[in-house]
Amino acid sequence: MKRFNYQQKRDFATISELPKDFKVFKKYVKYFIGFLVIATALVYYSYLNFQIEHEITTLTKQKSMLIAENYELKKDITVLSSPERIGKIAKNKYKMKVAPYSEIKFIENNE
Amino acid sequence: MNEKRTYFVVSLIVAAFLIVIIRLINFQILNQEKYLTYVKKQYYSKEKVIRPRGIVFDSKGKILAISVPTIKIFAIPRYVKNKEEVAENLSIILKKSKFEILRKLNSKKRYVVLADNVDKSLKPRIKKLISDLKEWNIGIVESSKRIYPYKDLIGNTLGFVNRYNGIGAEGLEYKLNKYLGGGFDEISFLKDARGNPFTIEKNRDNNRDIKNIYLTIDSNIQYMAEEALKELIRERRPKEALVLIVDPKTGDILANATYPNYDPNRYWKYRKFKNITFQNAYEIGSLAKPFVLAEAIDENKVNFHKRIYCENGKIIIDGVRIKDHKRFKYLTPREIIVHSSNIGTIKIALQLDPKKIYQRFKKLGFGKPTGVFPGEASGILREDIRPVNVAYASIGQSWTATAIQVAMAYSAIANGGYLLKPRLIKGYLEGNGEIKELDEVEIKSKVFSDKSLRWLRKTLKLVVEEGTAHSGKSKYFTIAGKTGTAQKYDPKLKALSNEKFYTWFAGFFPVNDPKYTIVVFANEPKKIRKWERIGGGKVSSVVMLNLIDRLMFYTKQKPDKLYFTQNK
Repeated sequence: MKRFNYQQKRDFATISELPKDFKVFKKYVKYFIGFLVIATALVYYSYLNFQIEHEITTLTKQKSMLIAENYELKKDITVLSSPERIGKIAKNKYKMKVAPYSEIKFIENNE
Repeated sequence: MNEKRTYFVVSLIVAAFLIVIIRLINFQILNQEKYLTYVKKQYYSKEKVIRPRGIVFDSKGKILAISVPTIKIFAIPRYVKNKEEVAENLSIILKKSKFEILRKLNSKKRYVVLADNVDKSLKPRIKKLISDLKEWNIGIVESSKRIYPYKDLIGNTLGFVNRYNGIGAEGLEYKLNKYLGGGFDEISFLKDARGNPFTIEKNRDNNRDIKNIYLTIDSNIQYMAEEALKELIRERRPKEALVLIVDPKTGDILANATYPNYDPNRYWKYRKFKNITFQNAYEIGSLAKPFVLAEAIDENKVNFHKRIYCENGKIIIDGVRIKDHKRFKYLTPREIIVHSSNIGTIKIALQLDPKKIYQRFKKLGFGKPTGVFPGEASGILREDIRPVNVAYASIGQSWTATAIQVAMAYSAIANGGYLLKPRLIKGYLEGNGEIKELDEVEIKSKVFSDKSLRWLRKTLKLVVEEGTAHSGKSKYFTIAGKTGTAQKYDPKLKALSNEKFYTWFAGFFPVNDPKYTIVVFANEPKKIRKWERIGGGKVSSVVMLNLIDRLMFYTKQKPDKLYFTQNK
């Protein structure tokens, strides 16, 4: 009768337990798959979140730049429409003058 | 025995963990704020940037003051590797001298501001430069700059914002600090072990509620008033002058042109910031006479048909000689006002209960600030019932008033006898685009009887048509008003000067349905001709001729003078 040393005995024991382990593994495989699916979904969700966050940041920056530009333009419009500037253009460029009341006809609104 | 040992070791480990947990609870929960402050102090240093303020609009929605977003460029010189290259590239973008930037980069300071109030549109270029050169110790921080697009138009009414701390320091900017916001934001620098900042971190608090404010000022009317005032200054070279236009039915201040004035964009180049309409009080001279006559009418102490002897231009009261500007003999009460006789007015005033005269002045709002402007003067009105002082008070000498008080008193004549609280601030813009009123129209009291009003309106119209203000009358519109000339006290003479005057005109137009109350004032106007006698009528006429028709044209008002409407 062939005699087996201690190591060999342990190996046989492990091999004989494999089908048992596999059964256990089989029993839980659906949970592993479920876990993997959830983990992948979470990673993808996080990726999407990151993308959106990035987009929000870019848009916020753009918004801030546009607000600044808007303020600058508002200021420019005010400067350009200032009574002083318009008065000067009217007087100097177009030679306009204040109309005397004697030359104004008033139309009565009877509505 | 072994079991005992095991329990002992385990309990030691558990106790150690418990201690750690308790310490953690102490750090993280119980004393979190305290330790966070320590950490911040240890790791961060702070710099302040100016926070934007709300916009100030005129009554028609034109911008009078706006905070434009800008950027501030910082550097931590010690950690900037290639200073030469940074300076060269930045100088191209910022259009600034390379050497100036280089000088700042070579300084031994912990951090330096390379450029302030830079146009925000340059931000992407600067960011690209930072990333291309890998100079992470150059930072950009958002800031803001207060701009007054109309420059000195309504400058000293608006006031200004301190350029270092972003807080309103004068005028309406000061008064409206609560609504307009402003002030500082803090940015943090992360420090290394030696305390040198090495990273710029932004730390903004945008949650503060700032409001956009609407004023009652109409910038077009303001411009007209300032143009008219410029004419007065060119012609008369006064020390100070003003043109104030008020809506007599609401108390809204539509224009307030003053001289001296300043450009709030460059306020640091000026020395005087006083707004003389609100913050200075002057003797009002003959402007006080209609109020004395109103009191006499209400006390039934005046007979409209009886002529009063005006002493041929001189009267002595309590040993003090008071003169008239002309040698009047007999004048009716109406003529006394139309020709502005001092002695006629004094004689009427001395028939009245002196206390009631002062009460009338107080009822009209004199002697106390209106509360519309910060640092407003109250004027001095002391009750002194000695005949000589009553005499002086009745002709507007010996007591002082501000131009806004005068405007509101004359508005009361225009609006049916009601003293209103003046308004400069219409309200603030709400989220839904509507204006929420801050100060509602407030009637303080009825200060003139209907009887006295009828008389005053007719008389004040005559003052402009044929009396002391006739040189400023309009061809097309009826104006009611009164001129005033108060002698200034000359410290050299230790008496009232015959050369230096305060001149006034206060009135309203058109007479039957007053749309505007106007006050014109000049301090020490100069003579145009040597023989000329300085007076409120002549000095103010240039403003009235330049302003009233133009103003009525702007608001599309039809002339109300009879001969004109008939001819049409």
